[in-house]
Amino acid sequence: MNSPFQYIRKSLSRKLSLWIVLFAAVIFNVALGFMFTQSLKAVREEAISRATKELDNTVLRVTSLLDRVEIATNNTDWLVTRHLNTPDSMFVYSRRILQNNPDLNGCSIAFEPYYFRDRGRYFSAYSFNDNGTILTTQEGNDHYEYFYMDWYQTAKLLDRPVWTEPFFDFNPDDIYSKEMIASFCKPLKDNAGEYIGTISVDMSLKWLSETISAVKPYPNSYSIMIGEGGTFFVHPDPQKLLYQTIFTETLAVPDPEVSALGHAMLNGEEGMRELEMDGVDSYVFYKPLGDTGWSVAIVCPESDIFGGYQHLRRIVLFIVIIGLLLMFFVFSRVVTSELKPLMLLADQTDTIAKGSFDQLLPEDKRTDEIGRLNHSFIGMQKSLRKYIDQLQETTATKASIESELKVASTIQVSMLPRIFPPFPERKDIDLYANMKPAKEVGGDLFDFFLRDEKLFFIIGDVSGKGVPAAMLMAVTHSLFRAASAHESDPAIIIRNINETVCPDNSSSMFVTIFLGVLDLPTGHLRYCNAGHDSPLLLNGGVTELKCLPNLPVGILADMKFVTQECDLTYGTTLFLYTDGLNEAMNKDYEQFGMERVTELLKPCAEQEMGPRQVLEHVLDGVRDFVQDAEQSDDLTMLALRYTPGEFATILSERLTLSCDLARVPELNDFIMSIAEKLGMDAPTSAQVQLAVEEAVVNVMNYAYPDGRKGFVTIKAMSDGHELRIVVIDSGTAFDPTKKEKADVTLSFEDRPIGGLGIFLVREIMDSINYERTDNRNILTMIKNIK
Amino acid sequence: MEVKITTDGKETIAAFIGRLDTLASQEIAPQMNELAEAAGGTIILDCSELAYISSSGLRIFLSLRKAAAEKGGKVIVRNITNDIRNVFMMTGFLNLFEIQ
Amino acid sequence: MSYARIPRCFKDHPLKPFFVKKLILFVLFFSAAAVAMAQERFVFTPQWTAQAQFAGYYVAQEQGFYRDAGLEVEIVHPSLTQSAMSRIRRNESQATTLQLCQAMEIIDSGIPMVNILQTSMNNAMVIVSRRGVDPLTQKGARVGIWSAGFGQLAICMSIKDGLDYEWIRFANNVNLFIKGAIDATLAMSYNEYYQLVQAGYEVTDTNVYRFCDHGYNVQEDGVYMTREYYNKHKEQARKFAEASRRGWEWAAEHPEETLDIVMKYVEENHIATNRVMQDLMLKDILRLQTDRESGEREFRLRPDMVKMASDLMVEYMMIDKEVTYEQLTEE
Repeated sequence: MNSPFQYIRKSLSRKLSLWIVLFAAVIFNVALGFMFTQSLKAVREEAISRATKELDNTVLRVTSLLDRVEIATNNTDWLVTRHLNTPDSMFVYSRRILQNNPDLNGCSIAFEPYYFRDRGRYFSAYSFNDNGTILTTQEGNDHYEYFYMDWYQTAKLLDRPVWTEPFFDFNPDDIYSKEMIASFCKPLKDNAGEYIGTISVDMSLKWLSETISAVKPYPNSYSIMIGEGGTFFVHPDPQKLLYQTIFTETLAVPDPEVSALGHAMLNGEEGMRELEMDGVDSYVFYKPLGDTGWSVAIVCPESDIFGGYQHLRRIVLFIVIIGLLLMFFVFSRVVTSELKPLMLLADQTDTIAKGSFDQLLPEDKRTDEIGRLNHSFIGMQKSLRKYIDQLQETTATKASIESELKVASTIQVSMLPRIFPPFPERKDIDLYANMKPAKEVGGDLFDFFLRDEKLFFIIGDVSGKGVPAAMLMAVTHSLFRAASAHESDPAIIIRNINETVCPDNSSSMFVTIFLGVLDLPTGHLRYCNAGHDSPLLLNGGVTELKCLPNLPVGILADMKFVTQECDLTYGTTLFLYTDGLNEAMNKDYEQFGMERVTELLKPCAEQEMGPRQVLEHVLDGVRDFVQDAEQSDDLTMLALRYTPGEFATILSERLTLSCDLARVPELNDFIMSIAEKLGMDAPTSAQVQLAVEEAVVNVMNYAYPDGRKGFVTIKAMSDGHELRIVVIDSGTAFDPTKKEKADVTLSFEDRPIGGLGIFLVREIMDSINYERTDNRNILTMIKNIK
Repeated sequence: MEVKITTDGKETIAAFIGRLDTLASQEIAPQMNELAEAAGGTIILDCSELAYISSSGLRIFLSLRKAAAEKGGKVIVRNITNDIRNVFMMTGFLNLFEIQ
Repeated sequence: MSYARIPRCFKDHPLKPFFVKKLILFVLFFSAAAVAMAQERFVFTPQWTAQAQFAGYYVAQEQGFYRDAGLEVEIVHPSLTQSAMSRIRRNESQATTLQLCQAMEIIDSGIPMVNILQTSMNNAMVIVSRRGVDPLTQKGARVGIWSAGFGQLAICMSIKDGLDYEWIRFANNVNLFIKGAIDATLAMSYNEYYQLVQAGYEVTDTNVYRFCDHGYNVQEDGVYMTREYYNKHKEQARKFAEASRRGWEWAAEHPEETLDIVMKYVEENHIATNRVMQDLMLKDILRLQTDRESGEREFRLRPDMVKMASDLMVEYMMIDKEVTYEQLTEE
């Protein structure tokens, strides 16, 4: 136990027990306190009454004796005053009083000097009781001038009967015997009322002293008697008896209580006081002894009076304390054992908290609150197990879904072009794109590829987010690639996509698309917008590329999309984006807005930033705005910059033929001479010849189908690095690049007869490009010669 | 362009001399048809002096091949030049014919 | 008829009992005195019963100062029948203590006395009245006086100051006053005064008249011898005086031990007193030995005080003729 408080706080049973014990203690306190107070009062009153009664009785007995002395004296006085003329009779009287009162020690009948003239100065008839024998003498002489004795003078001076202060008599035969005597003195008066002498009667105070000492209402109580001067005439302590007054000790050490008692007693008061006598708390009962001027007191130590009570109280308190302690421990035990199931529950809960749900709490037969708690706990354990199992399942499922989502996200990301710059070897086009999905998989898409010197690019936004959007996006993406493999017209490509998406679009999702085909040699841009945001042109300033809205893909299966055209000048940057950009929200749900986008792009345009820089600049701007608000939509951006290079022609020749197969050999010669001029080797030259022949023959065969006669022009240009053969005709629109690539792996049985021409052209030439401009087919074939 | 066809028992040899371009292909069409008749046997296409072949020419070769297959014959191509070989390679014709 | 029992006149009074024991010893001594004369024997009887008033002599005895001086001293206290002077007269004791006025009276009565050691330098007598009552206002009142012969100054004062007290003689206690039989009483500041205090009596400046404060500061206790004896035993007297003085000086230095010695004598003599009272007495006695003017224990008779006392007593006819300083001292 670190400290008693900790010890108690830790345990409910101890706390409970402590409360009970404290409460019980309070009740005991109050009840016992009350009882003890009352019994204390009763004991006190009993004591007072008892002591007072005893004292009263004793005083009564003593005073009755003293009264007898007084009476005897009065009788003698009567006799004396009637026989004043016979002095000798005084001896008789003094004798007689002793005879009649055996307990009297002596008697003096003394007269004023020369009262009996013939008897001389001194005349005092004195008798004393000597162990039963009464001896009489005349006691006055020069050595004993009784006139100055207390017994004589006091009565004379006070002119009334008076008891002297007790004094000691002693027997010379037995010097150790001391007898305490007091004298009752009465003035003698003659008939005229004049004072003539004193009659004095001695009485042994032995009996009185013994009687008073015998007053012992309690075992340790004692009696005292003090005289008029406060001297102790009865006292259990022989040291104090006669040697000290009640005030003696207060002279050395002042004690106001004892002094007060002394004065009260000397005043002849009667009563009881509580004070400390000789270091002992006592009750002192005092009463004057008649009119002697003495006072008797009984000193009862409180320990005597209340001894029994104190003892009882101590025992009761002891029992109570032991009982309370016992109660505490027993209750602690009992409560602890009753609460054992709670401890078990606590342990169990700990185990559960650690993760093991298997161990069930043992059933308890109890039906009280603990039993119910136990029962409920077991029920909870069972439910908990079930829920935990379910939760684990769900979590596993979710985890697997999430992992699959992650995979899907990875797949999706890998589907989009990721390598930038994508055409590092080309100087005429720079492109950078980026898609940041809102959820793990995005519904935005972008794509681009080069085919036949044309840049096909697309940006799209599927309605919705998450997996469904990503799936539609994937579908659209692959459809784009498929449709663009042989088609260069944006509207047609989009139509193809639309026709495929619409019927299968059971989830009624749609995708906005902006598709563009940029002819790199000419900078001619064909584009089609299907419900998407118009791209922005950065060329010194920022302008919007005007787009027809059309409809997003996936809504109307037979929607007629329209292709728009324009030309890009050198240095123009086309900036495409999805609405994740302009609809980007900060935490106040404020949208980024096209204005901000335009503002951000202005410096890009002015500084002629490259596409990567442009995108980074815009992203920074968006990030600053959005800060740490959650991304609400996929954010995709694509920027491409068109910087066509100059073609430094060192050779340029042309040949125009009529569409007649017979003219083909001319073509061969033309090519051969070009090849010679350019220093091409024979195999290359032969191959180029073949390619050109195939191309031109194609034109001859297909350009003028309905018998029309036409011409085909063959232009040959070179800048020393590449040879460009351009075949131009003004026949019907015919795009040889549209033709599907022949499958040269088929067996001879499966090989179609035709289709090899274009195939050979593609194989032999490094790139071909077809454009139809001004009603003319322009097929450009490029061969790198150095 | 000139084609010399000689028959030697089961073998029929067609020697091509010159450039088999589109025009030439058109011109030798009748002779090729004749050759196709003999497709049941072995046709040897002698290309020792064939300097050039275009897709039309290739088409002819392929037709012959197909006809021969139908009739149970075979077509052997002989002595092609490097240039011709390149073309055959590009077009996958190398695998279609037995080349000697 | 002789009574085996001693008649009443020998009865003890509670606070000042006289003991037969001492009487018996006295008898023995008397007979022995005739026999043994080897070491100088010397009997000293102080004027009252054993108490701290005579502490110095007890000390000298107990501490062996007398023995050192070559004196074998016996201290015998007086009894009611045998007063100190009666013993001196019969040469039963060689020295006693007397108050100065008392000594003058004795000299005047025809017995020349010599002061061999003066201990008291101040007057210790007081008048105590009832609570709150000024003794000087109690003209004609009953005032207690010792029957043993002290209080000469009081008598003079009563006449001189016109107080005209009615003197009531008491034996040896303050009971008359306590009983209310007298209006006031003479008391010694070291003795009866404290008895009154011990009896619970209130004493203040109002109800206590001190003679020493009213121009009556006359010395009191001293050791006296008869001139007759003195002239023959000067050396002895000197020795006794010196040793006694030594005793007093020792007592002044060792009050607690002195008190123990005093209590020993008190108990031996069965005096009904207690240590508290004796302590108070001893302190006062020692205080009285200090001269007011010089602040020293002078242990000498002052001629001025002698003159004053003598003049007063002559004037109020307590003595017939002047007693001079020379008469009192060794001449």
